[in-house]
Amino acid sequence: MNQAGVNEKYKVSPFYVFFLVHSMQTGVGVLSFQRVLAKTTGTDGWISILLAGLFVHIMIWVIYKIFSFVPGDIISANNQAFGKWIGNFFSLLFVLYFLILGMDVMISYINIIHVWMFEEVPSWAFAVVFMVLIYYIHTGGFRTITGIAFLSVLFTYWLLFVLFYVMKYSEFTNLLPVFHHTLLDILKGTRSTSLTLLGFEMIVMYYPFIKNAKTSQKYAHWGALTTTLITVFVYLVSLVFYSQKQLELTIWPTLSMTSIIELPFIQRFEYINVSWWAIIIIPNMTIALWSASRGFKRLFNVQQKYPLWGMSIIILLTNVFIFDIDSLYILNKIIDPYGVLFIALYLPLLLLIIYIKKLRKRI
Amino acid sequence: MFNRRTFKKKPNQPNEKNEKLNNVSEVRDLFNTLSSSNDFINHQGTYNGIGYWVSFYRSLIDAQVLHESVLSVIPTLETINLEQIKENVPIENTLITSTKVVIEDRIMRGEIALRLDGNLDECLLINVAAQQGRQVEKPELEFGIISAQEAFVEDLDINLNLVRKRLPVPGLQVSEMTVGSLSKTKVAVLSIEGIVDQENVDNVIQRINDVEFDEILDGSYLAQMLYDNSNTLFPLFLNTERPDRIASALAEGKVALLIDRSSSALITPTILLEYFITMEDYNMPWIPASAFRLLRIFAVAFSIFATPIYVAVLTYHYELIPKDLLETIVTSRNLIPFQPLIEALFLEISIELLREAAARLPTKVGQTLGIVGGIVIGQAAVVAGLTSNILLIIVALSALASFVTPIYKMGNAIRLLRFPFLIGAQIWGLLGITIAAVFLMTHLIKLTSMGHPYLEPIYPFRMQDWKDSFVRLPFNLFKSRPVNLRPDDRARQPQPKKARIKKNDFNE
Amino acid sequence: MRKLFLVILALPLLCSCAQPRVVDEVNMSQAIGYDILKNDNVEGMFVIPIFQQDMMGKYQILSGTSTTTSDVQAVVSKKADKPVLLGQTRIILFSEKMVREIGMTELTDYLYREPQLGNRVILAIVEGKVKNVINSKPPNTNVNIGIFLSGLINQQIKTGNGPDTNLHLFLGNSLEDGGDSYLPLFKLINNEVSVSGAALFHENKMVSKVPTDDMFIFKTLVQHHRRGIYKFKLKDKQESDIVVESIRSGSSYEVSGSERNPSITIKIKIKGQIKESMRSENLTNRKMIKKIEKEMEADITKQANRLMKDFQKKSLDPIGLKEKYHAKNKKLTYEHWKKIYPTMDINIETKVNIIQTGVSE
Repeated sequence: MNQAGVNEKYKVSPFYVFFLVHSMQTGVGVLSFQRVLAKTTGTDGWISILLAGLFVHIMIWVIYKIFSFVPGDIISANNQAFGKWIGNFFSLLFVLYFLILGMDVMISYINIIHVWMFEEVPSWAFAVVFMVLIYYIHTGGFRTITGIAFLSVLFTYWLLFVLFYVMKYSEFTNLLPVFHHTLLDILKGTRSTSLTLLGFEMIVMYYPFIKNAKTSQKYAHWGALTTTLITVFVYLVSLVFYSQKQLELTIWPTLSMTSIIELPFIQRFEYINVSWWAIIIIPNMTIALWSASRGFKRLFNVQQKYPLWGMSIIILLTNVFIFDIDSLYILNKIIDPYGVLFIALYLPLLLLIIYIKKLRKRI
Repeated sequence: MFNRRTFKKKPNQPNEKNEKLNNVSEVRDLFNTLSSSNDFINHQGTYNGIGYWVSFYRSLIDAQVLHESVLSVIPTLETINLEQIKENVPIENTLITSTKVVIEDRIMRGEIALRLDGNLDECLLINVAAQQGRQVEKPELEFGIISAQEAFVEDLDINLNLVRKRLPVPGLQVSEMTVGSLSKTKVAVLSIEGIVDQENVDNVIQRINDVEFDEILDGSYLAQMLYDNSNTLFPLFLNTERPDRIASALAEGKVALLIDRSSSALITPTILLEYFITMEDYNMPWIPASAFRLLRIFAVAFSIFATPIYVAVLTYHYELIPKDLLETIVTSRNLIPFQPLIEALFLEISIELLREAAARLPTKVGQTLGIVGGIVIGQAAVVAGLTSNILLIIVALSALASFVTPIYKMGNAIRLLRFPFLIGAQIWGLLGITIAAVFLMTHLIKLTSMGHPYLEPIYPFRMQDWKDSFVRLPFNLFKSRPVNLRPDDRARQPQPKKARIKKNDFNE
Repeated sequence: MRKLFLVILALPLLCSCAQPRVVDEVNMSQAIGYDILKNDNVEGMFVIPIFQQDMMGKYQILSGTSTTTSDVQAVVSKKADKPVLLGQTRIILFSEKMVREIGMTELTDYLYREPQLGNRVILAIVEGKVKNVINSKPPNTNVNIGIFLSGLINQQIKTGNGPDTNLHLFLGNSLEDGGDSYLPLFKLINNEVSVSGAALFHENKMVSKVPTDDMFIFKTLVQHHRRGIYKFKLKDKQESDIVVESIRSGSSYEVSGSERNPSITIKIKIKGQIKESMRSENLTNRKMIKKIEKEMEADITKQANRLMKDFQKKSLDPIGLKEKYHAKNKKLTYEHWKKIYPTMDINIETKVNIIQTGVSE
């Protein structure tokens, strides 16, 4: 019997895949991707983002193709393709990847809070609160997680319009010249933005939780497209707002950008932005850690709360003993080449193997 | 938890088989037991040489009815036996029985038992219960300016009458049951057959049957026992004293509960936004109605967030204050020795005290108290340098805003919600408020009322149900009943005829 | 048991409260001034408002000396009863001497790095000693000197001839190759602070200034604006003064010519109304207005040409012609720019449109 089978009662409508994909993709990446991209590709960065978006779409297509052969989640797909032991090994890699992604998001955000607001509060205090919150969300099951993702998109969408205010200080000649970077530069830029657009791959874990999952593919694509367009928009606004050198100097251009905003009752908008960003970050951490703990549960047949506790303790200890910039450095090093490559190479490979097996069976 | 289990073990549910074997002596036993209470009357009379006994609780019956309709009937009969009397007494729903449980139950509800000397185990039960209680009056808690001025009273039958008058259709089904091992409260479950999802009704009845508690004195008791999740601030069943509200809920496909001896009825399943709706919203054109509804929802947000934001900004985020306000804010706080949190708590608690005290006092004294509290204490606190006058304004406004919610219990929930947010604001400023808000969001997503999501139509997102949520759109858009309730009959109005083409064109 | 665990978990959290910065328990600086001393030390002055009932606009000035600008804050905090915080700072003043000696990159590094300071902070240069400006009394006693100075600049940006300026705009320009940028200038005249043009920066240091009279043209060259006042003399026998208030003005740039011999055409467009004309002639007469327009065009072209020639001679580029040129020529390097700029052909075309003459004839 397929273990990934989920009671119809706990499934969510395919429509929410849009929000799950989109909210998982937008996170800390959007705050800081401009700097690296500006260094490599400058004014042509938007091409890199579009290419990265295309890559995301292809990967989504691959994922849905895999599941059209093997309905279930990545663990059942792995088992089918490689047999129990090797399959489980790859599944464990996925679990580890999800855990690292979740940790990375959390520590990045804690770092932002440290720099912008409360440098004196220890990291573990934030980690404890976030973990309690995540645990509380998890106890509601996947339906609640979807709800948080949905509401987070709903409650943070207005931040996009804030950027129009910023455009008051824009210098549109900064967008020119176009196409003056080599293809290699643009591809390099694509690699660095793919980190921003990462997060769609959680579909491999929550696929069985979607009603009529096959019909949800278009929503996944829409979600990814929205993220790509928003990222392009944010990049273009940062380009016209900052001069090239300034952009390369600023660590969180999206946040610094909002500090230009002055409303009659709010003098400095970026503090609101940093706090409000928690609403965007929390679904990120939640979905990643849910995927990790769910994977662990499926692999070792334990109750989901035990891996969740284990992960909380790992995250807490990391926060207690390693300073956030140091751990961020390590985590980003893991995710940037290895995580992205893993996703980019492994999923097509998996599709290929499953496809071949399918063909053989037919013959 | 522990209490309930012991209740189960208690043998207060009589075993029927044994009952039938022993009932001969048991009926007489019953009357002997009952007689030990001084207000229990055993009246003995003789007619045509046959002795009869009339037994009843003096305090439960209407003596006039007893005399006019029962005792005066007996002399008109030729022979006296129970059948004969039953036929001649002009009162409905009489019964001849010798089952002890039935007799006991009915006597306790104000019926009289008539026995003949020949067979003292068989009784004729006649209902002459006294109909005491107040008249139908104006609603007090949910007063409306341009809506109907009727409110429920404590009597179940009058309440049922108020509802039925508004829904004179045979589909309106009432199923009555009794809960409470001591209070024996009658509960009527109302629904309109053909509209309501029968599963909801079955669920409600099932849960009521599962209630094992000795005393149900009010609808709110019952509501809390029927909640899906009792660890919540939010009311999951809507308490109302307005029959029109019940009628409109029934028409949407909801289930209503009327409880005897309780002037508030319950509606279930409910959604969060329903608690910010007044019946007057439907009596007004849709634009003002929507505007007022939005105002109410804004008031809720203001009431929850205003004080915490004050505390957060003044404690941590002084950068946010615009330069023109800076002087005003800081000057007003200059002499205050406490942190903003202490200052805010001091004011919040004093406002809560005022509210609590005003609720306990008679109306006239209450008014005086309001003036004394609001003006004198507030002013004195500012002059004494305990609080800043800006905070005083904020706290007073947010208290006012919390009273805007039409459902009193929701107002309470909102007033209490402020405190966790205050603590969040004190710990991590705006970030603390945001985190508390996500906690609240999660809690609301998880809540269900009778198994239906509480946050609908926001999540799960259902476009059709937005017509009557934050705004109230015109009635011609009220085409379907709330999807949330999965009603059997979705359509509220027939599909418009095709001939109705919009033809304005500036009046030709 | 589980609840007890939760309570125990919650206890250390209470200890992890952030450090409160309650508004009345900090010294909020609203303006900062930096002077350079003889021994190359930096003297910093912080304008800190004192909030008291019925005492509007009272303030104190805390000052301290150190080797770097950021350290001054710590030095000053040592002399105050409450910590000095920068979150409410509106304006930062540097003395002219200082910015001629020390590069702006070094000076602004700390300002940009500090999250407490927003991008909106105004930077300004003082001719003479900053100390004197900060110690002067603002004419309006309801505000302190910091708010007064930032209000002065903002007012000039909105309705006068001052171009938009703040930390963000300044850094955007000055971080580019060449470091060409501008900042407003203050001067103390008869114990009254007033704006006295703009300071021009090149390669991070202040090298020149734009006098007040040229500020209208400078502003028009730098940005589109809606307000601003231009005064010129009509060239006829009477030599009367005409004052024109700009309603909508700005300039556009056209890059043309070969790579070796490039030229830039600056098209200035001004729509304005006549504020004052010291002439008896009828202004409703279209001919007269046309004449004024023509004269004004000629005058502005002449002044702008002079200004641009001056910039070219000093190889200053506060207008950002380099970016405009770079947008057309992808391969431009700074070295190449340095070579071509001083001899570049810069044409100025002006178009004046007077659309209103006020309520009187």
